[in-house]
Amino acid sequence: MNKEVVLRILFFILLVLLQVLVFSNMRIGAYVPYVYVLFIITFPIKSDRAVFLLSSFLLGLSLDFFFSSGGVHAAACTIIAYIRPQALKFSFGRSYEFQTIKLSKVSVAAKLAYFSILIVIHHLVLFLLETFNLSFILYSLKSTLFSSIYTVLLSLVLVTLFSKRKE
Amino acid sequence: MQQVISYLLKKKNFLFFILLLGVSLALTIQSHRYHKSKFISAANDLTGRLYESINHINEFINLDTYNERLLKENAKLRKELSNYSFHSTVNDLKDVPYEFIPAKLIENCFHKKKNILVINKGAKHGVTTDMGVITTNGIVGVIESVGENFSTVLSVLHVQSQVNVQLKKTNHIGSLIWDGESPFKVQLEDITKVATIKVNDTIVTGNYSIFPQGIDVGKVVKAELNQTQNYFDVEVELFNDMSNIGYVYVVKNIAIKEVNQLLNQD
Repeated sequence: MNKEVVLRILFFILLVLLQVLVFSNMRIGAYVPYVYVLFIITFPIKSDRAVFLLSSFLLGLSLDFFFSSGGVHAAACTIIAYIRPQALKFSFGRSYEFQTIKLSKVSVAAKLAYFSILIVIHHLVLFLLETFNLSFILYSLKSTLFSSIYTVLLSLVLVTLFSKRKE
Repeated sequence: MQQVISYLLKKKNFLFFILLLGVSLALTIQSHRYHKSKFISAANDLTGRLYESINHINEFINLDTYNERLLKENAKLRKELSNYSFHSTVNDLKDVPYEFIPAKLIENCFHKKKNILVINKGAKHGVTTDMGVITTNGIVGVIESVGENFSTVLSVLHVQSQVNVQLKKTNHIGSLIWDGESPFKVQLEDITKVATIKVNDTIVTGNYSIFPQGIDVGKVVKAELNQTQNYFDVEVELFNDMSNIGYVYVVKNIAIKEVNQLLNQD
C-alpha cells in the first residue's frame, strides 16, 4: 500500500470519529453539521470510480452504525459520490478536465459552489430518507437548508485551515 | 453477446452505484419497519465503547444534577417504605412481577424525528427487546435492539413510538404518541369524550403496557375536544427532561412471558 492510501484510510477514521465525538455535539438549535462529507469532497479526482463509490458507501454506513439510522447516510454518501464529476465540472469548468485542481488554489466562489452542491444534495437525501414520510417534508427541507449552511461554512473553514498548514 | 458484455463493462460504475444505493435503501426501509431486529444499530461493542468513553466527560459535568436526583429518589422511597408495616415479610415482595436493571444512558438525542438512544447494558445483563426504560421522573422509551454489552432505546421522542397510558384520576386509557415537534411535549390519543380531562391532570403508564402500571409520565397542558371524532386532542408535558437523562432503569416484566403465551393461544 502506498502512502496516499494509508493517509486516506486514516482520514476516513479521523472524520468518522470527529463527526461522532465532536461535530454531532456542535448542535445549533436542532441543526447538526455533517462535516464528514469532507472525505467525499476532497477525495482525489484521478482515483478509480468504483473505489471512490465503495469508500463513500462505507463512510456513510459507518455513521449509520453510530446513529442507528439504517442506511440513510450510506445512501446520501453514495449519491453524492456518484454525481461528484458533474459537480466538479459545473464548479470548476475547464480546469477539471485537465484534472489539475487543488482545493487550496481555486477561487472562493468556485469552492463555495462545489461544496454547496454536494452538501445540499447530501443533506436533502439524508433528511428525506430519515423521516421517510411526506408529511414531514417541510421539516426535511428546513433541516436541509439550515444544516447545509452550517456544514458548508464549517467545511470551508476547516479546508482553509488545513490547506494553509500544508504550504 | 459481446456487445452486451462491452455495454455492461462500460456501465459498470453505474451498475455498481445502483447496487450500493439499493443496499443502502434496503437498509433504510428495513430500519423504518417498527419492531424488527435491526442490522445497523449502535448496540454493538465498537460504537458502544466509543460513546461510553465520551460519556465520562458529560457525566462529570452533570454529576450535581444526578446526585440531587438520587437524593430525591431516596427520600421518596424512604417515605414509601415507612408506610409499610413492620410485620410485612419478604414474601410480600415476591409477588412483584418486575425487575429493574440499572443502566446509564451513554448516547442521548432529542432533536431528530426518530430519536434512538444507547444504554450501557445489553444481553449479558438480561436486557431483551421490548423492555421499558424509565427514570425516577418518568418514562424514557422502549428497548429496540440488544447487543452483548449495549442496547438501543426507541425514545418516546420517536414518531413511531406508542405507549399505553391512562389518566391517574379516572383510569381512562389512551396512547401516547409524538408529533415530532417539541422535545418536551407529547400527544395523547384515543381519550374519549366521556373522560373528564383537565389541564394539570397527571398521566401515568397504563395497565396493559410493558411499563409497570402507575409510573408518572407527564401532565396535561392542553385538552380540547376534537369536534369531528368525539375524542380529545391532548398535549402532555413530560416530567422527564429528555435532554438530560443520565441514569435509567430497564424494566424487566417477569410475567410478560406468561401473558404473551396466553395471548398467543388463540
